[in-house]
Amino acid sequence: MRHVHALFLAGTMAATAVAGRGAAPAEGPAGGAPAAVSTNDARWTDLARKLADENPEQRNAAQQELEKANWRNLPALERVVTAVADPEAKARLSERIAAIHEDLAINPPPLTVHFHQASLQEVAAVLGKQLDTRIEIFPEPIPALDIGSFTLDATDTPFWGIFLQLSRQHPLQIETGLSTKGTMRLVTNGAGWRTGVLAGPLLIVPQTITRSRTLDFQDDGTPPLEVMRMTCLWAVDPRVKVAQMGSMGFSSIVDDAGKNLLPEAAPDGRVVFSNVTMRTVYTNANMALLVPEKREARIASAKGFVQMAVALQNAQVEVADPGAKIGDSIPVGGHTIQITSFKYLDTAQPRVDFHLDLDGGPMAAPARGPVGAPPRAASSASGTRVEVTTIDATGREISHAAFSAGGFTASLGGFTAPVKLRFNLASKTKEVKIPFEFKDLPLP
Amino acid sequence: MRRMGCVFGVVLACMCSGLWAQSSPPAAIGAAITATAPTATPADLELIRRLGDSDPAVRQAAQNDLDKKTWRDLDSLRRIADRATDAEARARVEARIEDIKDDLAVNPPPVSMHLKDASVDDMDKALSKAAELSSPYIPWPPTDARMGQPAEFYTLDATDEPFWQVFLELSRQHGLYLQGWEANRQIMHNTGTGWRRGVISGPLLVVVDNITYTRAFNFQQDGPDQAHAERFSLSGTAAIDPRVKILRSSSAMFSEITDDAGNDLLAQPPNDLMMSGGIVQAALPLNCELRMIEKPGKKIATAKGYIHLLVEVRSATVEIDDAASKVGGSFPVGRFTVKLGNLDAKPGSISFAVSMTDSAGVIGGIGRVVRGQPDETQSVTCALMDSSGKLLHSVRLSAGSSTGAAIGTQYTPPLKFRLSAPTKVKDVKIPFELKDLPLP
Repeated sequence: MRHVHALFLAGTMAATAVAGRGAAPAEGPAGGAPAAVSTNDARWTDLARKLADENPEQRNAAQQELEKANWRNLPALERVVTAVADPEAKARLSERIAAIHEDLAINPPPLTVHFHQASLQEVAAVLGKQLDTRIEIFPEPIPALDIGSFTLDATDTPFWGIFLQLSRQHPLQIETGLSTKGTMRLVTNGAGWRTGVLAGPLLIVPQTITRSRTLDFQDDGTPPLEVMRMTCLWAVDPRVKVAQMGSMGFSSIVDDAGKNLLPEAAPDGRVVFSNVTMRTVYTNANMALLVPEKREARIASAKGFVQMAVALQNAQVEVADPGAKIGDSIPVGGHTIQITSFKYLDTAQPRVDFHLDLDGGPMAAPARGPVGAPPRAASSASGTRVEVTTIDATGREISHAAFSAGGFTASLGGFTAPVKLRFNLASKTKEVKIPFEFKDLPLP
Repeated sequence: MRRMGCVFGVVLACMCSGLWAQSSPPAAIGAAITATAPTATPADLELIRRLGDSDPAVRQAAQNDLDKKTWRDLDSLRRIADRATDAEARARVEARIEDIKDDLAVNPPPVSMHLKDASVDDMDKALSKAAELSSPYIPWPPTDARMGQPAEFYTLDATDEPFWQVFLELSRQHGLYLQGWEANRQIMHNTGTGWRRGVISGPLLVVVDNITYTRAFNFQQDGPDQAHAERFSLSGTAAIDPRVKILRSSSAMFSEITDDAGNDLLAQPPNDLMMSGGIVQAALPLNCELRMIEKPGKKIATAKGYIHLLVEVRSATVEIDDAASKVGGSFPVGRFTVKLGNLDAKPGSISFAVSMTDSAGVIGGIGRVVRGQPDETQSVTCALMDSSGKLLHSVRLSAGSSTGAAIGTQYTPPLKFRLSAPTKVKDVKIPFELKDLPLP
């Protein structure tokens, strides 16, 4: 299992965007894709030559240099690798490129934004473009409820760092989109996430610590029960596709008097992961604390971690005319999906009913993997989950859900026919354990 | 923080009527109300004579005596009414009988129960029988689910005790509480402490579960003043005697809460809004925010409150026997007519649809309320029962509406409906008072 450091230290520049009244056009790319701003193909061509050198020391030195390459060097590396003829150099470069891609799947690059008196709509548009995610604002902004403008100059800043700075200007929080919209919601009518700890792709938000004293009148003779609980949430950079979400654990919580406040340290072993869709952005946590004897105490340090399984590779298949594919086996990431029924209903409002099976359905024999791959268990045993998105003729997502070996049945309405189905399957995942630390939290 | 300094005091509060304050009643009210002695006693005859006396002072004295009669005297009052030849005397006695019956609808009589090492199921049956419930209590978890758990046995000798007193005594042996309504009345077992202590006021039981002081720090708020929040709350339950047929109810609410330092702790004045529509649950939540006081006392000295009920006192009742053979039929009940639109009974499942027209012949769609706010006095309760009298489902139809249900249940055919429309209702406020509640 790979540990990701709490501070996000990716290089100097990623995507840049400018928004706001009277703002100048941005220089450089505005999209979310990493940009090669310090391209030096000659440097990597020379390195490729050294990787193929007959002298092992030269090769090792070159390999060490290659290990330092990061996402900023990707475009140059990808250009160079296509031109390299030496098999070993090509293999080493390819391996490094794959490793950088894997790292990017877990640690997306920082963003650069420049907002000057920008409206929330402008902020959402710029962030959405850089994140390659549709962001809607909730509630729908109306002039009477204009929350005001945002001004921010942030260069090479983690997404959540930008988010917190914006939220401190006007409270914002995120909701994973409704299943029928498939978007991320920027929520303006909540308390907002204003303070938090950044840890790799995560924002850990301490929400409340509550201390309560309860006298139970139905329990004979028991003294008042005093308990303390902490609630927090952790949000994942929306560019990270979370295949499974683990729980948050704490390994130590100490108050300013050095007293332990953690009833039981979280086990360091494998945690139980729960299924989510790859659009999941945040999860809540709630834990008990020991009640300190001293009032007015503070938490000096709370060290914890979040575990999750990240999708490194995503297989995506789109079926434009599902009704014509009934009974066909549709390959998706080494698995097969069958549309066993698909029917538009003859009703006043358009409706469609369909059923999907995965790998032959729940009663099927263990499915076979791709040619040459070792046999694998049936979907029911492997926990394979496919995400299915239903998209209508206008391009609007009308449903997003995940299903596994048990199959999937849908009855949908409120769309413009015809609809198409898009399947996503996390074909390669990686479990990561991301540590974080809260410091100096006041206690109630 | 203070320690709990004294014991929770239970106070029998002032009653909404004087029934409970009177002498111990007989065990079986049903028998007491229906049995009729063959002849009038000399005392009966004397009361008849005095009620018809030519001297107004004698008649008034006799009326005063008549007003002291309770449900225990119903038999003798009926004898008196039968024997009275004087029209005024007869009218006075009949009026008193009606008053007592009205009062019984709000204040059911006490119960008697004698158990020795009774099982959970036997105790539940005995409690249902003692209270003469048309739909007995269902133990929960069910018998099968309790297999392997430590057996509970109940021993009790209670004669002429308020229903809730009997319940509390049973609950002190093994924690119990009630939930559900009519066809779904459940006694919850293995629930931890259950309801063990409470204030009984007429048909009302008030159980305070806890008082909690909470102090929270919200890290997403600006500044320490906004970030710190304090809350003081009381949480409990108000339960009405299951024999009282409630058409509408307010929440149980407090009108005065004072601590022993004289501080007013009531954060908000009571909201007397009655909840309407549907069948009222057996147990209603009792939640109250308390004011934060800089120098609070050590206990709540007094907490006075009340619950506001609309109770069915009389009803017109019609039974539709062998209902499956009468689908499509219309049945007058009170000034309403109920039409049985469908009854599909299969082994293990039943579905039915009924609709109701009022005197103006208005009929609505499913769940529609024609005249705005549902009015329970303009309603018919449709109870579906099997041939053994087991209540399978109960639903209340508003005037001009229709409804139905699909029920998965075992039953003994043939099925019948009991339709019941209130013909007389009573609006009552039942006060209660809690005393000496320690503060956490």
